[in-house]
Amino acid sequence: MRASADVVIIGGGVVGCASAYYLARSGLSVTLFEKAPQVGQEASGVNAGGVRQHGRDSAEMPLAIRAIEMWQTLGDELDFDLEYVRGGHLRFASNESEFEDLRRSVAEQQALGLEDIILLDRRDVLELVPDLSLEIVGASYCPSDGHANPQLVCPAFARAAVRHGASIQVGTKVTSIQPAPGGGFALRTAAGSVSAANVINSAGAWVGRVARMVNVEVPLEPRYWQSMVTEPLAPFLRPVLTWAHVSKASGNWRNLNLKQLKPGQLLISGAWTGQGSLESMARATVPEGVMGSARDFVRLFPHLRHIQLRRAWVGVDGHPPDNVIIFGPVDAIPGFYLAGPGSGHGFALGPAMGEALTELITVGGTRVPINGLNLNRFTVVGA
Amino acid sequence: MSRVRRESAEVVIIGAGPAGMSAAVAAASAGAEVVVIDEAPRPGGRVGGAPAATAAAGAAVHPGPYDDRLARLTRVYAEQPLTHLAGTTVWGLFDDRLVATDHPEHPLIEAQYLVIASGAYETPLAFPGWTLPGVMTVGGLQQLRKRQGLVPRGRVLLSGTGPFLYLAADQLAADGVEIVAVADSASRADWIRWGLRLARLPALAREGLGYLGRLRRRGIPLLYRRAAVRALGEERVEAAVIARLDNMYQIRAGSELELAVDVLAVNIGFTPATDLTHLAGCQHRLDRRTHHWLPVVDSLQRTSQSGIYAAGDCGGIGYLPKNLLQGELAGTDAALRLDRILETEARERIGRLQRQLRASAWYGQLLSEIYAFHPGRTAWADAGTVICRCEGVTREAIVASMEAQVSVELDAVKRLSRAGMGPCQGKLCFPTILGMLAQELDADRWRAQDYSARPPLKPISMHTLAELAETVQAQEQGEAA
Repeated sequence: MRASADVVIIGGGVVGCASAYYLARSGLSVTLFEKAPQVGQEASGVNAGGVRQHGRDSAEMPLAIRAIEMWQTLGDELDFDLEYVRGGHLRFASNESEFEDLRRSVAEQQALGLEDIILLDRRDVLELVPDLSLEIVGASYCPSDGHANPQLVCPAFARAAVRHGASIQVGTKVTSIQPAPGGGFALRTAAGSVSAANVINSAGAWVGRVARMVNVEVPLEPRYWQSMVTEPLAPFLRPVLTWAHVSKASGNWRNLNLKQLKPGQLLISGAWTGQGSLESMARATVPEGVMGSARDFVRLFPHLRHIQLRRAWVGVDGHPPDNVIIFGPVDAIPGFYLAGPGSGHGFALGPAMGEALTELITVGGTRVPINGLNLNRFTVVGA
Repeated sequence: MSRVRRESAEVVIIGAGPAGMSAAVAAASAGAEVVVIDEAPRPGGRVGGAPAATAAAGAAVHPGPYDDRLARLTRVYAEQPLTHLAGTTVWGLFDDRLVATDHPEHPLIEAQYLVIASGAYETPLAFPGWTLPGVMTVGGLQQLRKRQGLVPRGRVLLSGTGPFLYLAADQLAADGVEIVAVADSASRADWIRWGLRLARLPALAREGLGYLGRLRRRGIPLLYRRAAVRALGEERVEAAVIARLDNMYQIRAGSELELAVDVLAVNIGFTPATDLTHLAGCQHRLDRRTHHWLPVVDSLQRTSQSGIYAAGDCGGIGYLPKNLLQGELAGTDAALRLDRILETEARERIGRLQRQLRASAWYGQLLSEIYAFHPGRTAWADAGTVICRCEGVTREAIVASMEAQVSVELDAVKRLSRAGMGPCQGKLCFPTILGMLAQELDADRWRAQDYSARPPLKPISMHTLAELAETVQAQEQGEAA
């Protein structure tokens, strides 16, 4: 293990691996520490794989638009088939008032620079998804959105980073971070000590714990998202579907997400959570979630009710109170950067976050505005 | 989410083979409330229920060494006041011993104590041509005979090793099946060594010698240190290539012989079915000799997860007496914890069972030597051999996925290559991939290669799950009202 690095990255999720790649490519010495035996084990590897701009918060939109640009050529650049499909993204409205909300949000998103988002009526939707058996009024549609396989993206970035000289230390936990008097940091890890000029905290759901090592509080709640995947089917669904509805069982709002992966499986996510613990790193599905998702699915596509469920799983991510990523330098500690946590958005934005961090460290500014994402948006009150 | 009281039982037992039945009898006869969940239409497991089913299927009934004990247990089991859910699959196991089944009336059962007795399955062996029709496992062949009265027509070659291979050969030959040879990867010297140790169990030793004597009298060639290493054919298997093996179980160059066959049946041993103990989050260890993951249990069959026991072959391959003892031990301990049995009586019985188990441990040791993992076998597959049948992943693709990683891990091989992501959840490919990893990794790293199980453990349709959701909701609302 190197004794010092220009940048130490804590957490080998998509943001950490992407940062390692872009930083190493720009000539910096980079060491990434991942506590798990592999990169991409947590939210980055087990999320639902959505690559979308549609519906992003205004503060995230510039990064999202830049990320989609990067996703177009990412597989070629990393020399890895990421199973990226640019099939569009549909968000349904079940009644007139929801449709009104969509109309308003489409106008807002267009104003934010998302040029290709449009409003579709019921007939247009059925042309895109002919088998849909659901009473809907219409949908908003963003054709440049899509999805990719999360299990492949972190290993692809990590391998490319290693090719550019980055050091990836898996199975290695960082136990302390000490800001050095003249700048920079001294870190202790399970595998020895290392010093670094810059530290990127991309520890996903554990960002808060890592930040506490330098006495920075990051307001985060862990959330355990459930995903499940069916047996493969012949291709019939290009766009990703989002269906916000009131659950029959609980009376709660649910945000069901459905997409068909490149190899043919249907991936169902978004609506249900499981349970777990950050201490033990345990995560588990709950039976209500698995059965409930199946019931939602059968409502959407009753003619596909006999297909088999293959697997259900849960991934954990950290959620800030406003559900917008926390990203950028930490004012009080020069050289310390927060990258994510993704609040469920990190996978799609990952490449753009890696690029922006590289720009921050090498030239001190970013090509896309990131001001609205900074941690300081929370610390104003009571400061 | 509102938490409503749901169906519960004091003891839930998964699997009604010898260990499961034995646990059920111990717990139910003490007065505990017992629910047994079993996939098969009738209790007995893979080894049991056989004579009646075999006779019903019109096949000859061959007496096995433990038929009497099994028949007795099955009778006693049938007399117990317990709930037996036949033909029922456990698809999930959730926190606090919540068991999810596909039974329309019992979708979720909360177990105060849970005994996992899920048994074992035949260890898969991937070699060129193993996916051709006509290539099967010896156990598969036996099941066809026992349950459906079907015996293979044409020339049958048996390949592999171990007592089960010879038992099956003997029974199939008695049914008039044309066995062209038995290719045993062990040597004659291995068998003499193992046979001498078996002298401690004269009944079993006699049984084994009986198989050998009858096979010899029928003129069936017994080939030692040889194995069917390739199956050939277009539509189905037409021939098998038999090769001589060296001490590392690698193919000796120039020793290959082609033999025309209609059926090739292989058995190289059994693998504990640990998907339930894995899903339950029980701690496991990887057995160095057999390459099996085994749930770690204490002297009462308790796993590392509170209230969960593992008994029988799912905790390590043994023989029937061992499985009965472990089941009885788990059932007795559960009854004691439920206060259904006098402490003194329970302690006395538990002590006796533990002594008997210790006394029988040597046989498990012997089996683990006979069925030891031999890395040389993983090299029989060539680049194009399909290792994961569910997802069609070849050896070449698995090697590529190992090379694509920052550090080699079973879990990452799975993610990158899709091996093990099909309906069998890796049962048919992980033993082979583990073998491939054994050549890549040092011993410590290799021993750390645990895998994760996820629901559903068995394929289940969205429709069934949706219906189960309705049942659960109706039950919860009914209880709340």
